[in-house]
Amino acid sequence: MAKVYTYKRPKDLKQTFKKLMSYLGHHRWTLLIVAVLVVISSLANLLGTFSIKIVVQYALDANVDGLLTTCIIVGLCYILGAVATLGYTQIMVYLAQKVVYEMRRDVFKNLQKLPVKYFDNTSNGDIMSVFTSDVETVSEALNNSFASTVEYFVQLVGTTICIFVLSWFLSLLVMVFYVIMAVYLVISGKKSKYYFKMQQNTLGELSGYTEESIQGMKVIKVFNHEQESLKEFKNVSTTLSNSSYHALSFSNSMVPMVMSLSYFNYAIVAVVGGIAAMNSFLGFSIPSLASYLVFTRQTTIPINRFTQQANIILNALASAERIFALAEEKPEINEGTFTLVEKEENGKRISYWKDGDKLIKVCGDVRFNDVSFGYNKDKMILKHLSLYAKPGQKIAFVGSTGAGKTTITNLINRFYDVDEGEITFDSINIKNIEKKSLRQALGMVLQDTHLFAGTIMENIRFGKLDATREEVIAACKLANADSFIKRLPNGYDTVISSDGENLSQGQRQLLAIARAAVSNPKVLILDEATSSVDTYTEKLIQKGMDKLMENRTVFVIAHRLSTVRNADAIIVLENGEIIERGNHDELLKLKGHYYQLCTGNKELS
Amino acid sequence: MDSIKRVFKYAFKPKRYIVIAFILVVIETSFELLIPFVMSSLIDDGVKTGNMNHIYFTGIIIFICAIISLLTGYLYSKFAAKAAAVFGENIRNALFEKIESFSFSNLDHFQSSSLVTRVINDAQLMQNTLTTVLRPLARSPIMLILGIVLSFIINPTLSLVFIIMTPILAAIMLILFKIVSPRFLKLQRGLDNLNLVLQETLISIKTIKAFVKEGYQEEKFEEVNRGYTSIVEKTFRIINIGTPLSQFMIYTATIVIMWVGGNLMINSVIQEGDLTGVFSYTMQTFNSIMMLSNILISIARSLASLYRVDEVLKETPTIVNGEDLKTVKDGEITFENVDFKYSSSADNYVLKNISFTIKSGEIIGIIGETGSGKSTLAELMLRLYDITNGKISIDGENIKDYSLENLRENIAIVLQKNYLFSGTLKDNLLWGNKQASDDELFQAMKDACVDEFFPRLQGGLNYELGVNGGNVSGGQKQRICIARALLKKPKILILDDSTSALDNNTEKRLMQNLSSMHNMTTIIITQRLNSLILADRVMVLSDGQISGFDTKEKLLENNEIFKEFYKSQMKVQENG
Repeated sequence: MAKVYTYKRPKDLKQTFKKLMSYLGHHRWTLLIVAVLVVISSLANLLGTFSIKIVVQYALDANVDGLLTTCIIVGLCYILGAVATLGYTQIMVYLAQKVVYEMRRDVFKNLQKLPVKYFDNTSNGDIMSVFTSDVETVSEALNNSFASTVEYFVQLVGTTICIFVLSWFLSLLVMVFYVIMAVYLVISGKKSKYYFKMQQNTLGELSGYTEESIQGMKVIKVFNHEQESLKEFKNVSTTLSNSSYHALSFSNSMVPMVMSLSYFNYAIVAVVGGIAAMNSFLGFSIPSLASYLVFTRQTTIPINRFTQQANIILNALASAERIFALAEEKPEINEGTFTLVEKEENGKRISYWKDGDKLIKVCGDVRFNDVSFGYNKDKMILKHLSLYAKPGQKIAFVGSTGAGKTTITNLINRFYDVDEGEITFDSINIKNIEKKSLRQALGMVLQDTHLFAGTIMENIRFGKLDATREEVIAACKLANADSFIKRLPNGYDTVISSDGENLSQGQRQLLAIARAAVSNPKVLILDEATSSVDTYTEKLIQKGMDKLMENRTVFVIAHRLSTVRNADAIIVLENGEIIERGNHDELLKLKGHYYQLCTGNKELS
Repeated sequence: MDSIKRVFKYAFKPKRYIVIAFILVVIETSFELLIPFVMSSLIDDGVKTGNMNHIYFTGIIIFICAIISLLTGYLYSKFAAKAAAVFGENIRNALFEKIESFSFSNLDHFQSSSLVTRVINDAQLMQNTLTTVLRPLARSPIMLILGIVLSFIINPTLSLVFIIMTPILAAIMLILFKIVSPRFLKLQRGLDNLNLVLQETLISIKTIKAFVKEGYQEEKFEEVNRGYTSIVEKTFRIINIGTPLSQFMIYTATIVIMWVGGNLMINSVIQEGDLTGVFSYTMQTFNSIMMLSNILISIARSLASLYRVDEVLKETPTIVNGEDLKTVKDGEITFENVDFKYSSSADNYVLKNISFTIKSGEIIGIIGETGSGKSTLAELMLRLYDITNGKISIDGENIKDYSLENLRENIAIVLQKNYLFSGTLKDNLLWGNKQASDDELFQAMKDACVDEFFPRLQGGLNYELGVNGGNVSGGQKQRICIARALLKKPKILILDDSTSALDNNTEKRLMQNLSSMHNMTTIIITQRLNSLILADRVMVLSDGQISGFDTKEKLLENNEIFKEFYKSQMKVQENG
């Protein structure tokens, strides 16, 4: 979501401020220097306005020397002020960017450690908006508002002191107006917050409609539905425009209103001050009046800006709160102690599970012992599931959508943890294996193929970063991807975008298979790995797939039954329970569920 | 510059809101600037001469000024808000309308998420910029001009300070703007890179975890994060020089006025009221110029959004509507030497030298491996893409001579990547025919075998389908999409792999229903032999060319690809 006026308030202001300060804390001294420079700069500015009185007085007395000295002193102060401004603005840019950079880095670092459950329950848009909109808000606030707030505050206090020094009785009048302005600003600030929230809601509605229409644009065109969709879009768009109008007309009016208030103030002060100066009331003189009137005009500026900045800062703190929430989100548990190690034996590299002195050879023996699991507690997806895959065996899962096939793979690699029972890998409970090592020992080709912006070569290497070019090409040949890759404009060095727009679904799946092949895992999980590859191409890669599956334990989930026929065991799942198991021929003889699926009398969807 | 013109052409309609808002600010500012002028008269003509009436008089004048500024300020806030709200609305609507005019190749050119961002976020961002910028943009020049004029009236010598300082300050601002504005495009690119890595990570988080490549992604992110931070830092370092620099200029002006003005006062050329008046103008005017520098930066920032909006607005729809009002009557299709590639710059043809005729009422199957051009071939008939060479005719007329509306009204296609819209089942079915009666809906649902599961949908026709049919299964969704297409009562029906999730029995029934419809040519693109049960002829596509187009029996004799296809599919069934 773009940076839209949100006017959200932080929930725990104090905590958030503290955390923000701890980020700034590494730069404590720099911050102090900034504060000092801001004060110097503001004071210099104030001094200039204040010295108008002195200049007028010297001029009235025809004191040229006094005038000269004043000009020189003010000039020096001004130079000091301008240099201070230069100093703090430059330091603040550096500081703000440093802090924001560290924030992005820390949040991203933590993000990747979060459990899969978090991503399943949080929309990507929400996470993206923390990085874009929220970080940007904090960045801008640090860049401008931090120093400005100090500056306007100093100016506000300074001006107030100055006018009291010039004339306390006129200042009492001014104070009355200050209070009126402050009350006005607080009240309208609240109101405009309400309107902006309304605008935000309509914006969300329009955003939803637009997203749907654009995703379905091809269908809209095929049905000649452009006019109707446009009408509907314009309707919501107008609603947004109206709520924008209300919100904006309110926030727009704040500055002119305060300005007008200050003119009323000015008119009264001018008349009363004029009379007082004429009668030299309490020693009030003409130079004082001149200076006073300039000051009175100036006071409005810091009031206006101070409230604006305060709004921006509160907004930024709300953003900071969301950033910290994401940075502190609990990472997935990783209590395992077994790690994957490789040893050279007789010129061969052999993998072991290692925990202290314990060494267990990695064979690829996977067992489910009475496993139950549900994404939420009241709906179990898998119920008391027991199964085993001996090293090198090929196990296939068949069943309708929602039967729990993909859930099984989510459990093996510990994207989710079982609720009851245990899963063992080479007789080690997988909870005792370090997650990183566990996942390294497993190769996965997932239902949706995700590629990354970069070359084909880089994408395959994602499976094994130090794979040589030859290894990559060999893997692609295995997956029958080599022939189409060679036909791409730059072969293996062709740059593809992350949604792989120039590649068909089938081609993307072939790349994913190659990626898994290059990572050379002991256990391979194929989740609908060839669902988008047509039967003809599937036949072509069959040999490669057979070779890929050689000497590995393989779990296959497939929609298309032709892919599971050679499995050592086929497991038919229904509602989280195993209803049939056996090899193809056995199951056909059984004439049960699997038989019906094979003959096409039952829907698989 | 062209981009700005193009976008603004759409954005300021009607113009009156922004014009009135502008005028109001000008009035408000003018009265505001009168105040120091009146004040200097208050001191010199009132206080010093002891003229009480004059003091009251000026007090009243200031009071009137205040009332006027209150009024104009209030009205301004309304008009400016309207102008900005309409501005945003116009941009959004123009974008959406333009996107709707896009052909499939235009749509392929943009990612759909980026189109949504443009319609929603960029339009809103530009609206916000207009809001922040409008008032200072109107005020600054007025302040400057009136400041010079009024100080000139007070004292020509002192106003010289203005006349000299203003262009220098303006020049500094302009130079800064020139340096900074191209940097914002760079900044945007840096941000895009950052977002790309982030988005990729979020979408592929399971893949990353499965391959234990968190560290690798972290390095990638570190690189873009570092790059972006450094661009932002450099840009803002330059921008921030503006503040002390203009401060320095204002200070210089103030000192000069102090010295020169003080001396003028000593020589009795001016009075103290004059001096304070000029001081006030100096402060105000230079303050407003500093504001101007801030708004220039806001504008430079939103230029990136403007360019993104313009990218869509300036894209020419690749398909031009035919003018003739001919209607499709029979649904006979002829391809003559048709070639097609996605863009003129692409190397490979997707379809090469395709020629065939499909007679009215025939049922045609199309098979072929992934990427052989099956979907494209079908989409060409509705002019979703335009052919590169050759000619496609329907009922003997070139399809370019039909209007797009007529063509697409009479040819129904069920896309492979189909889409249902959130709303009820009825809402979605009515897409096929707005005027359809409930009886017609039920008939279409029966033909498309929706009736098999319809009784299980709570609420019947009012069942909420959810975003993209999230509340129905894949097979159910496919059947609803087919029913929707049938409601058009098309002359030609194209099913692009739209029965893949149906079981064999349901599919068989569906095909029988379709074949019993008279006066409809049916084209079935499929990967399953079962879908071809009732096909009169089958076209085999291979690598963009027709390898065979004949009855199934003939193909089994002389087409290797079809033989393979047949064998691989029969195996499973034979075993059963």
